[in-house]
Amino acid sequence: MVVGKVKRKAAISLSGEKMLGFVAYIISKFLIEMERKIQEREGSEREVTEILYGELQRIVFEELPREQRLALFDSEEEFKAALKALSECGIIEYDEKRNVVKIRDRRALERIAKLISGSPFRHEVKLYDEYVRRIDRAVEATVK
Amino acid sequence: MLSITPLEDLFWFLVREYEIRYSKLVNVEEQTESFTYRIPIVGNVIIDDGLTSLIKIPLVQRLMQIRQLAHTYLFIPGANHSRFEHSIGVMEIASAIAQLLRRTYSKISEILSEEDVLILKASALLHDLGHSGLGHALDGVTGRLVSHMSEVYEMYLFEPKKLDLAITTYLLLENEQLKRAITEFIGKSRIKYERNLVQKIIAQVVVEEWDPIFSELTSKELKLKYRVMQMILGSIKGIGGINSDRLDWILRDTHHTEAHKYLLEEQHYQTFESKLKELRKFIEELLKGARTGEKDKKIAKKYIEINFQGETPTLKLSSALEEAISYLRGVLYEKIYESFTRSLLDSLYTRLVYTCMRVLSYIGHAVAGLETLTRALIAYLLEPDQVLLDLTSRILRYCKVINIKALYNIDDIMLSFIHRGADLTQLVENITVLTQTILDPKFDSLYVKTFNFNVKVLKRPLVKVGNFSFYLITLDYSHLAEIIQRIARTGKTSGMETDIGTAIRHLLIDRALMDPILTYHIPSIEYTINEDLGPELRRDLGQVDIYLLINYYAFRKLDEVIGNKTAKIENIITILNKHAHTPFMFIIVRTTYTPEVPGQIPSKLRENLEKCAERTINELLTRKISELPI
Repeated sequence: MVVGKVKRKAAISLSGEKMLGFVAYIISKFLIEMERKIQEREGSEREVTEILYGELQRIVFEELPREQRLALFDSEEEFKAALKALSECGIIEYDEKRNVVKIRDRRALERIAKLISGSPFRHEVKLYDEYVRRIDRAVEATVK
Repeated sequence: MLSITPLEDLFWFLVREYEIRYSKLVNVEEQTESFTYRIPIVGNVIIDDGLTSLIKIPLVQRLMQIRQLAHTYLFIPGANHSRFEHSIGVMEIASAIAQLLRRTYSKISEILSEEDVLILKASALLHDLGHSGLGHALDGVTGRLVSHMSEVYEMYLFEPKKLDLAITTYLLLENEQLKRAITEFIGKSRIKYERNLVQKIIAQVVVEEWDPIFSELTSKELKLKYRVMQMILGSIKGIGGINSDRLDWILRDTHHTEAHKYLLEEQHYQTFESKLKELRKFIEELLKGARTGEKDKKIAKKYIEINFQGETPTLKLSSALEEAISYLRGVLYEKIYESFTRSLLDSLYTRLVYTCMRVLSYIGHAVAGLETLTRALIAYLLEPDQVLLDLTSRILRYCKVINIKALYNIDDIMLSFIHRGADLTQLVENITVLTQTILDPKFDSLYVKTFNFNVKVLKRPLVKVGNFSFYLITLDYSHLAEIIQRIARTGKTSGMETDIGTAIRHLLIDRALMDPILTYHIPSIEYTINEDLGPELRRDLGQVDIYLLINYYAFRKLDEVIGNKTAKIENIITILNKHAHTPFMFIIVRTTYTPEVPGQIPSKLRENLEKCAERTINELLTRKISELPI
């Protein structure tokens, strides 16, 4: 039945990108760490404009839950929906065929990162700070 | 330990409570070969395997004293069933589904052994272990507890909406009483795995994460096992599942409340009844099949869709059943779990318990270490419903008579927040009257919409206690939409185009799931508003105090309904307006003013109440705009 199929599809995409802010933060942090690494290795200030999906997947589904004990997404489908939502607003472009994430608006990413990392809320709610610190550690460990 | 205040006595009582009840090892051997429970929906449940080792411990037994529907019994007295009853129900349904699938599909019996079914049953029994007293009514304070716990323990954390699972996982992996019980369970059930692995399988199943969060579970064999168990017990977003948990609570809550019989109009009642019948029929056939082993294939084919393509078989209920569940779930949420009465009472209890936790934190930091404080907080929240409420009232009232400011170095804003929390215990003491005011059939018509903000003000007091009248103002999603629009305008004019939706969602929703009270600056806004009440107002209305309550569920609901449209402000606004009646904040105004005509709200009072609401919105707006990264 067509109706049933449509409903199921909708149910799958629903609640896909609730952690948009943290996803944007992960990408922004990853870019900074990658560029730092390039600078150290090559001495160049090359800007990273594309990330392999596999690298983000490693951070979100391996490093974060298993090493840092933080599971942000129930499944990859949910995480991909978050990337698609960020693509819809023009911050990134998630190319599913090539499995890469292209950066479209670096300034917007940096602003969201600032909203998260520089917020007084981090000091008020230690749990929030804990989330940010664990994400930082996971990204740093992956890029290392 | 020498205590210098009764508050400190209570603090040390809680520290001991945790040790005595939940840390001590249980050395009682069962003198019977089985435990029997007689439970609505699933009938006679005879437990004659190692699971008795888990059931008997105080950590699990406490679920008998936690009401499944929190304080819903205040207005639906039948809603008195416990989390324990639900857990046993889920265990029975999950076990029946697992056995049905094992007998019908050889591939499933290759994945799930008899021993694995026992681990699945243990997962079902323990899945709600981390619920505090009053259950979901206190979801809004979970973040505060996890915050403390994660400072002391290297806890597993999940997305903010699933913070209760952080506590459940902590107990599953770290609690000594439970560790010993799991060892006993493994021994009696002759399970081949070691305790450490069983604990992790149970935790992985309960948290409903598809990918392994433990490195011990990365093998193909174990992944297959836990994923099939997850799909029987719950459901994974984007993948599916049968969700025995949901099957049980829909049927159980409906059985105890029969809410549809008096909350729905005739036409909807018939639809509800027919969908409920479908679900009941499935469970009856399932349980009968499990006990007799008859008609397995027929039941499995009729009700369960199984797909063996791909790395892991995926399970889900038939489309007809899914549709029925979706309808029933929607009605229960709207009419009970997210009803106005529940929202207001949940918000009140959240405020009081949150305040009490702040007080315990001050005491803990002054007289003990972080670890002891955390234990006191866990013990406090694990208390049964009524004990938790009594303790809360006692602690907050002591705060009014003890100079806590000097003792614990508390700033004026937090002191005011705590003292006002103590005032609000007057509402808890009169909760029956308050609840009945809301249930008055004329309640909706008692709301007056004010001019500027379209704020809804109740024409008569919620409750009168002595000389005080408590008035209610409700801010709903339409006001939140207004706030978001204004923040968005400021952001856009400052160059935030692509990221404004993401930023607003993070500032107003995601953070609220961790700590709604601080996300919405409740202590400081409440302090400012009360400090700014002019002498004119006091001359007009006598003594006036304003209290802000935040509705945590408004943010959980937003998180659900916004879905994948979050990027666009226009869409967020549309969705908010579609659910405009959902309250996100309550403003309680306590005054000694008595209107000349009872049940009428004189313009003087109405205008002043409107000013309170306007002031609250403006204060919130100013603070949120200052948080934008522009």
